[in-house]
Amino acid sequence: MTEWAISTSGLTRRFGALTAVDQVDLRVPRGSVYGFLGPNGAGKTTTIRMLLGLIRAHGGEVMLLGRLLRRNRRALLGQVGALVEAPSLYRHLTGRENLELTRRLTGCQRGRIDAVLETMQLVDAADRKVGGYSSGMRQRLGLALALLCEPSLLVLDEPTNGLDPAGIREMREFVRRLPEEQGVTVFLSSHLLGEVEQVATHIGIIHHGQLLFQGSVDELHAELGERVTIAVDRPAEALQVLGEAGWHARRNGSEELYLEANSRSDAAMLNELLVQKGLNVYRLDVAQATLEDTFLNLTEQSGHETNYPEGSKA
Amino acid sequence: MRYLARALSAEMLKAKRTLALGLALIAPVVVIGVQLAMIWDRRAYYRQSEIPRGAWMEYGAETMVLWGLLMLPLFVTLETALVAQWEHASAGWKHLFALPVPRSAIYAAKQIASALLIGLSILALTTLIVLSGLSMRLWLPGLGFEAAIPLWAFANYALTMFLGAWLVIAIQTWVAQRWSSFAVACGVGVAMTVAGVLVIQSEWASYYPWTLPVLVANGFSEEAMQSLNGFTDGLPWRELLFATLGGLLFAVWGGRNVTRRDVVC
Repeated sequence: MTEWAISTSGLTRRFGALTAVDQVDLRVPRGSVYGFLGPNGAGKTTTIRMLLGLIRAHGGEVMLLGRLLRRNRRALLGQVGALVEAPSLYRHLTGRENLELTRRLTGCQRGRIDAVLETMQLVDAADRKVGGYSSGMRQRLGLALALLCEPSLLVLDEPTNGLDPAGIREMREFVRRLPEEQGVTVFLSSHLLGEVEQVATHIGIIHHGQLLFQGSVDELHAELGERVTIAVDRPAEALQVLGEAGWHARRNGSEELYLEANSRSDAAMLNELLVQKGLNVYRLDVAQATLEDTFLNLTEQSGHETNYPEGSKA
Repeated sequence: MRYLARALSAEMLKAKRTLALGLALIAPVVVIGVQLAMIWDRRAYYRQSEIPRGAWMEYGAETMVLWGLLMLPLFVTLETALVAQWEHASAGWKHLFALPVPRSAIYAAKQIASALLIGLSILALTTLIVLSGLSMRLWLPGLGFEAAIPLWAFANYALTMFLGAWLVIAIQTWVAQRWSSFAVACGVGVAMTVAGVLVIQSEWASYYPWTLPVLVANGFSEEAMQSLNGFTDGLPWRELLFATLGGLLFAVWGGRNVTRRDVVC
């Protein structure tokens, strides 16, 4: 049995002149919760649609559970549960009827409907029309649909969209338990770093269609440098000075500047540079960088403007 | 076939509580209502004993022509658009096409579901013609409905009209599934139906999908052929073949066209 639940080689997709996904080589270990992270428009959903065969790749191959998707589409999709963006639900039908509909199409066991309703805590609402569901309930029903046929691989695209904080916490706990309790590999995309950080065992960071980092959370931590926070009287000017000197500083909308440094001596060098340019530095902190810093650093270094993920420091 | 049966079963469930299913019964009721109002208005004509083809055929053929020429093409437009909206409105394609079911089976099930709804409406119309005629026999004696019911002629009308509609059902199904906009599907159907009212008077009527249902049905009803001075010479086998075989071929092409597209919404 192959060690990868998902592996792609050179996966590429273009939309006109735009290369939405560019030579992506995913390696998702079996039994992992893989957080696929990137700002809005980074290429996450396009990648997921190619993983499910919903759109064609212009280059590269997709292998799911060790087999080529192109040649084994039906057999492989029978082992995959998916929730792509907003759940596809028929509002005029009840929750139970929505599940029954997918059950009829796939031929899985009738008893699974009650099982997933219970798992997703939808038993009481099962016989109500979906049109009357809250967005959180719809999201849970979407997840119930994905779990209906006991998949080996669960692909979730932004699964916490529309959920309130309590719903997000429940979803997080649920996803975290899946590999242990049901042996399911979870591939989870999100633009929320905080969300991924709390559930993922492995992380892939995509930006402008390119995979910038892939590995375990520990590997990502090993890459973390130190974060320098600088408070200065003229931050816009300071940002320009640092940029000209080759530093990737950012403001994130605040008066302070943030940048990653390799050592404490870098901090002293930064201070000296700013003071020499006539700027008044009135605070300079050095601390261990967070995943968020690394994420922002990686995406900014890829040479494009970044839509900052929610949860960034403001 | 196993996958087609599953997909069809799913489509049947989707039809539950929908306007598409309700309209299959409501539309014939509306047409019968209009026809009854017209009979009431023309009751003096009906009281004549010398209606050439008898009250039942006069009433049945008029109703079928009204249905086949105008209502049926519009109804096909509406039904196929409503069936397609089940997926377009719920972003259902990305869910359906990520399931371990051949895409062709899913499209074919939609095609068949639309055809069944049209068939149901024609069956409802035929039943209502008989029931309304029997009501008139009871409450408006003397209009000629005491005569035997020409059940065979009505069944012939209904079946040939259904078969004659296959091509237009296939075309409208493709339009409605291919474009997510309800307005596009309805716009095409309404424009083509209105054009059909003019086309039916021309030699092109035999090749125009929106006039084929009434043309085929009339052609196979000798009585109706006489009343309309015959658009064809003899029985319209060629038109029937064009409608049925053309419908099947177009459905295959439409299915390939829709199911090979990228699902981006």
